[in-house]
Amino acid sequence: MGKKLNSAFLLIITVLTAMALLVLAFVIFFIVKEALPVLETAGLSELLTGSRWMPVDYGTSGGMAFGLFNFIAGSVAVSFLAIVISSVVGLGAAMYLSCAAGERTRAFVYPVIDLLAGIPSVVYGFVGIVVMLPLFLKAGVHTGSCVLAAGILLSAMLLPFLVSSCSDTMLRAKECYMPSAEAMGISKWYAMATIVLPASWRNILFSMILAVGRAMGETMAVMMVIGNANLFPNILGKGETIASVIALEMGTAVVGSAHYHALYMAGLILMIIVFFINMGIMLLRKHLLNRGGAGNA
Amino acid sequence: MEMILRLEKVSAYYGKKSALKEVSMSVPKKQITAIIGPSGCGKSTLLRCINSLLSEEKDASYTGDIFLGEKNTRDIEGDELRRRIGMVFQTPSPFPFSVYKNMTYAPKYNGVHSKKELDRIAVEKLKMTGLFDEVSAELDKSALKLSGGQQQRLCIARALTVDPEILMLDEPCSALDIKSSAIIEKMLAELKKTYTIIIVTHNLAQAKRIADRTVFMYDGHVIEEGPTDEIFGNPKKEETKDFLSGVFG
Amino acid sequence: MLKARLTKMWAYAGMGLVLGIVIFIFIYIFAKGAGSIDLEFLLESPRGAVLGMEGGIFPAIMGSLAFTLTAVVLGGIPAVATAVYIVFICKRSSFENIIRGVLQCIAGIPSIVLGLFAYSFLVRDLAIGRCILASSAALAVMIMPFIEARVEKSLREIPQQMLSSSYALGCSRGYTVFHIALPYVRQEIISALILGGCFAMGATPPLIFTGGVAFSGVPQTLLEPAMALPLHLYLLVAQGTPSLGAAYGTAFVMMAVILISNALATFYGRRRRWK
Repeated sequence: MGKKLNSAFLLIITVLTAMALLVLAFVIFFIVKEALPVLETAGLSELLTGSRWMPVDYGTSGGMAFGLFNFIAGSVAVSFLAIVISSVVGLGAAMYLSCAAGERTRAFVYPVIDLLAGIPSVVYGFVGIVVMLPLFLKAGVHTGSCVLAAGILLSAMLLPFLVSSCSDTMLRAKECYMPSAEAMGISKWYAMATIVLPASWRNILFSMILAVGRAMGETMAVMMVIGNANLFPNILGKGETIASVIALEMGTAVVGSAHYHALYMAGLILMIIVFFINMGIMLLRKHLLNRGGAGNA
Repeated sequence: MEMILRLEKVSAYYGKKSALKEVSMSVPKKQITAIIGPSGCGKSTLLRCINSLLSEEKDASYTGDIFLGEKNTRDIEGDELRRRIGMVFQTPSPFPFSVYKNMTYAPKYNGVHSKKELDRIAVEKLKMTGLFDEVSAELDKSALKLSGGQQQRLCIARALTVDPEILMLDEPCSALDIKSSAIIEKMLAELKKTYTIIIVTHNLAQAKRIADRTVFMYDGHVIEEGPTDEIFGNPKKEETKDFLSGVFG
Repeated sequence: MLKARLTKMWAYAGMGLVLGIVIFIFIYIFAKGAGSIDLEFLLESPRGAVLGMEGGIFPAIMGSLAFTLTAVVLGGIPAVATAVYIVFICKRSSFENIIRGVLQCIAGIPSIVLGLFAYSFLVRDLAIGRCILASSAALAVMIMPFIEARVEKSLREIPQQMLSSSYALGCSRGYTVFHIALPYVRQEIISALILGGCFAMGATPPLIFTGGVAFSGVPQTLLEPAMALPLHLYLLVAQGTPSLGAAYGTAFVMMAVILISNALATFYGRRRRWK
């Protein structure tokens, strides 16, 4: 391969990368551009703290209103619930994988758990509707749809990420401390509880926060079981998330109307929350790494 | 004595961290020059400056001048420079192809396509490293299936396929057993008839055995350089004495 | 010692529950859906007073294939290029950080917002209409950071000395990337593309306003809308009891695809030494 071919190859890679970046940057720009006009109709404080959502003027008293508060609260509540459930289960599995399982078991179990990440969210929603909602209905929840149902579904979807990142962390901590613990004759589960777990908690916390970011954007599964009512989220009551508002209402929003721009604003808010979570964790990790943070990097 | 390589006030940086501090030294033609010193003293970085491999790394740079013959290496293109100054690394790193493809990888890049010529290069260089007799029946076998010592000799043979003037070896024996090391040392003594050799080693006995000239580095500086007998027999600087007597390192 | 016993119980219970969930979902869908699967279901269009009561899902299968393949081509090529650029060409950390920031930001965009973007920009502003291409563009943006991250990770795991050896022979970056790096990670790239394809195939939100429709024939070009499996499943579920059988069948097909693709990706992703 001559010099020309080499520079051609480098050029192609660079151009493709530049194009990809421009397209991605344009997507971000476009979303911001389409979101901002809504501020002419509703202030930022109304958007963030108002709970009245009346995107089309039906001539009722009060006219249009664009309060996203309940939706934001819905997204946060569902994600939070999902993380709590998923962490309890996932941490257990991660402990098993890092402590009790051997190399071969891990090589088999990881791909199986990864299957959970591959299942389309609409299938989760479907299973939720046909399996979970009847149970909630029997338990006395009206129609069965509720925030808890969404949280449980979402927690299953988060498991692969939490299990793999937590077990990675714990495996490293184990390799670091276990030999000396075992040399002192301490049983491995006791060492797990008293050394490995405390040494990994910071990274586990990071993984949990990153998982919140992933959970916030989930649309289909949550939308199918949460009931979609503009209410402040209550664990056994209905709620609605930012993502489901967009999915449900975009089809009817008139292009260019305040409603349309408000939905973009909802998307932008979601995006910003997730972005700050991801960036925050990244910077925090770097910061701790630079300070040579304890042996659980 | 003809000097083939001359360094003048070479300093190297990784980001803001300085790894070499105004190193000046020279390398005689068709001799073996050993660079010794405690780990982290900048030996490997020095090699990476000489063949400009450093400029392939992120946020790394060097200042000062390096002359190959009469020419400043900054005026030689990276590819060309590295073709003229070969390098072999610490852990044997054969490419994941057959032995034969390892040997023809670089010649093909340089535009050699005739099967006959490729065969000639492969056989000649494999013979130089004494590997030919051991692998001649299995040139199509994966290079990864060779033993560690064979892999390292393959890497040396591979480095020779582009006919470099200088061959640099970065601790080539540190991952090998004693027997393989001995074979490589013997081979290097043969190779110096054709090539100039620079070897970084932390094995003082090895430097003493094979090197004509020795350079002692410490903390990014060249402390002392000279004929091997003099450096080992009659070191002039305190640091060299301490290092050779095992006070640190 | 209570601590030790509790931890052990927690670990076994957690592991059991996770595996239980995986097994339950697959067995449930496969058991319930198996009854709906026959040649007619796989090879015919949906029919019936309530759509999907009779007939099959053939157009949805072909549609999903079109959406997915287009998205993998549109998203995969720039993803691999960007990964190569970051690892081998970009020499300044500051520039690398900018690229990473943009990718991070894109990865944070909920897929529904990407669908919104494709609708507003491609379908409306550029007036290409509701079509496969518009949806696939949104899907491509969605899977691009996903594929990039995986490819970049595998590129970084190439032994540094192997690359340095190639440079040290006087071979250029282009030659090294092309002849050493890319062949070395070929299987991981295939694996990343398969998983990215799965991700795209299962995503519903980007299709809703852009190129996914409730009923159509098998798409002939990329400039017409098409049915897709996840959207079809969503609509069947929304219709309630009459089309539930078809819903189980559709879920069956998707789960089978996921299972096979994941098996393939795991098989390819495992580092196998050249023989």
